[in-house]
Amino acid sequence: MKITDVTLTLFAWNDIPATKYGQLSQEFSGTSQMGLVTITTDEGVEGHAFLGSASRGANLDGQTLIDYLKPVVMGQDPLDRERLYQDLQKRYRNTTPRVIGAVDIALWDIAGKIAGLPIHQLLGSYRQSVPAYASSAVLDSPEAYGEQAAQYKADGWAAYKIHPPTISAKGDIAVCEAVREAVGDDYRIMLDSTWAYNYYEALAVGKAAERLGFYWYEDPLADDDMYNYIKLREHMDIPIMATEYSPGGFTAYAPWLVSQATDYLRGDVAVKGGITAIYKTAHLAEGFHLNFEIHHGGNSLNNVANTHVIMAIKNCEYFEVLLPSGAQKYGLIEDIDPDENGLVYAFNEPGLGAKIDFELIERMKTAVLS
Amino acid sequence: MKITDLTIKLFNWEGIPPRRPGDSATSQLGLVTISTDEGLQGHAFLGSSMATAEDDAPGLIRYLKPLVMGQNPLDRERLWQELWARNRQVSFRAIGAIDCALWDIGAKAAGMPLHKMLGSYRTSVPAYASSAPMDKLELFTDEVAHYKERGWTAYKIHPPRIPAYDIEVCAAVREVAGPDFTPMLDSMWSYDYPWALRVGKAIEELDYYWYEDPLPEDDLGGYVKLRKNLDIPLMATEYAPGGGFTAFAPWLQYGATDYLRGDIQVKGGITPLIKAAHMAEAFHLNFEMHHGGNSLNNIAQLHVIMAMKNCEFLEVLLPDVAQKYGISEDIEVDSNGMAHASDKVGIGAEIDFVMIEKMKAAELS
Repeated sequence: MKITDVTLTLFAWNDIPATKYGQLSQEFSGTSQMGLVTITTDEGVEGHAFLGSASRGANLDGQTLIDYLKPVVMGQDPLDRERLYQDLQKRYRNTTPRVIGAVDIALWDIAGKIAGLPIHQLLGSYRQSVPAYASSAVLDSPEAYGEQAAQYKADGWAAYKIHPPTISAKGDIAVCEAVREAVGDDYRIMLDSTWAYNYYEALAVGKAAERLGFYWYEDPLADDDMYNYIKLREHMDIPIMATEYSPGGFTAYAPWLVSQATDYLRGDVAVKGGITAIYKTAHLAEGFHLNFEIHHGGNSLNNVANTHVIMAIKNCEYFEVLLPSGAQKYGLIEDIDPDENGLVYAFNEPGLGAKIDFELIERMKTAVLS
Repeated sequence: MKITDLTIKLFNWEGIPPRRPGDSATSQLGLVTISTDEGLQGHAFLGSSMATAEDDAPGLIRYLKPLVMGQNPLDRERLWQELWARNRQVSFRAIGAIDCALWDIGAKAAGMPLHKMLGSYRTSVPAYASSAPMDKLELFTDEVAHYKERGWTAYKIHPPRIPAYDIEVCAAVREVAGPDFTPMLDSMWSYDYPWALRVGKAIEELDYYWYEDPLPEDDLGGYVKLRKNLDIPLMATEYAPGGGFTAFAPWLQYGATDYLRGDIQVKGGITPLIKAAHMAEAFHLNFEMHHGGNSLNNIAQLHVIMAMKNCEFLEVLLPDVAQKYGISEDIEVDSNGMAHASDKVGIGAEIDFVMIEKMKAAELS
């Protein structure tokens, strides 16, 4: 079997609500461009992936897919995934992990379709469902966070994660206190401070989170500040989560493990470069008896890809649902939605097994790159 | 899909040359067969010429069979975790055999050779001839000359384990093989630190390619020190204490080895080999696959090698009469010293069912 074409169909995403996740990421709203990656083969099987997100249009990365990655896979056997993954990784200075990830996902989609198996079964399944947590955007007031957390608790979700305003340590502590107050002592809550603090702020907020019984403390320090992560971890009793954006790809986790700078590994198909990269990362973490907590994928189909990997590994506790839906869900007929028990389920159709809304994509199409 | 049965057919293997004085010339292998309600069957071999399946088979039936009966064979990760949790009741070989048979079913269900299911990286790999432990220098020099003549490019010595004499063996093998050949030394955990260093320095001079297991398998501190004092790459962890793939972590953390190492029998299946390969890759290290102890394991491992970047060689342990059994078409190394990927669906081993029936000693279920 040979790959005969790779195309990127750009389609508009409108009416995105004004959204922000911290001071480091800018507020976005209005319109973005999503990209449907289609890999075609001479046997008629097609693989798909989505490129882009509400905060970063696929138009920005799209041309690098066509110029640098398409030539790597054209004419190749799509089942030679490991070879292609290694070849795609070598182009990482010309493109982004998001684009490499999209190609890799589409190749897994093809393999699953040929095998007639969902990707999680191709990998070897571990489970059929996983608890979800709601992961906030930045909200206007501590009370707004408290109300939202209480709502998800009432809806049966397993946990709630705060993305605080990160304007001041004091302000973020007030949010943590308001959320703990609103959900009571027994509900599971986490804090993701989006790389906002210096060491002393990180320690102050961390001690507050510890006192309030937070389940994990994510990205308090700059993504490359391993020196201070090590020190912070020595001073904290609650687990520290880093490495979502640690410099480099899957092979750059090693020093974080050797130096004991984190209690988890972290990443997703978009930031680490596909299903192949995160599957390897899960195994790396397992070798150190750590969890690889998979980060939300930035778009609906990436979240489906993440779900398959979660179903095939033991060491990921939660599925992250980043809020609001209006800034995260687009392009699928049926998106992932936790049930009344707060669980997200495996996709059991061959390949990715998600129903892509081709009609919507056609209607909103702005360009096709090939 | 559901698993409906698991049986082990024990069959005799006779005429095995003794590896050590007092070794038995006979062993038994076990053909493990996992059956499903959809008619698919997965196979694996249990045991080796050195570890008879007679010893492992009863534990497999007693402790592991109940874990997989009635389960979906495609739930490999869940089943592997549960099988692994029984590692104090059974051997890693028994866990490995079931995992291997489950991958066979998985790839058959996918309608693909196992390496394609995993995602292929290549279609061929260089093989090295790996000597039996022998006691005379001439046996090694004759053997390396024989394999070099047939196109093989690498040869590994399992030496007499008398360190000063081992150095002589290594020098003689290099002399016969010439400067462009790739020799390795595997000292099988036999030296103390001072001798490990002396032998290491000597084979460094002789431009050996790697230096495997010079110190006892649990001497992590010794390996760390040795690695600082040698330029030649050190290979450890085939039998790292704990045995599981999670036991590699301290060896990475302390910089005690230049490779990770293991096989289906010593690590408990194909699943941990894939995980170990990924773990090694994250540290920019090779996971050099150890021979699998029986023919079917070796064929399964060749699939895994074809689906990964970070393994340089296929190990072919000698002699054939102590390693190859029960398969009608075993792995062949071509005149360029290369072994090739199989295009058959599943693990794709041509199991010699007729011979197995003829040599059958018992059937467990």
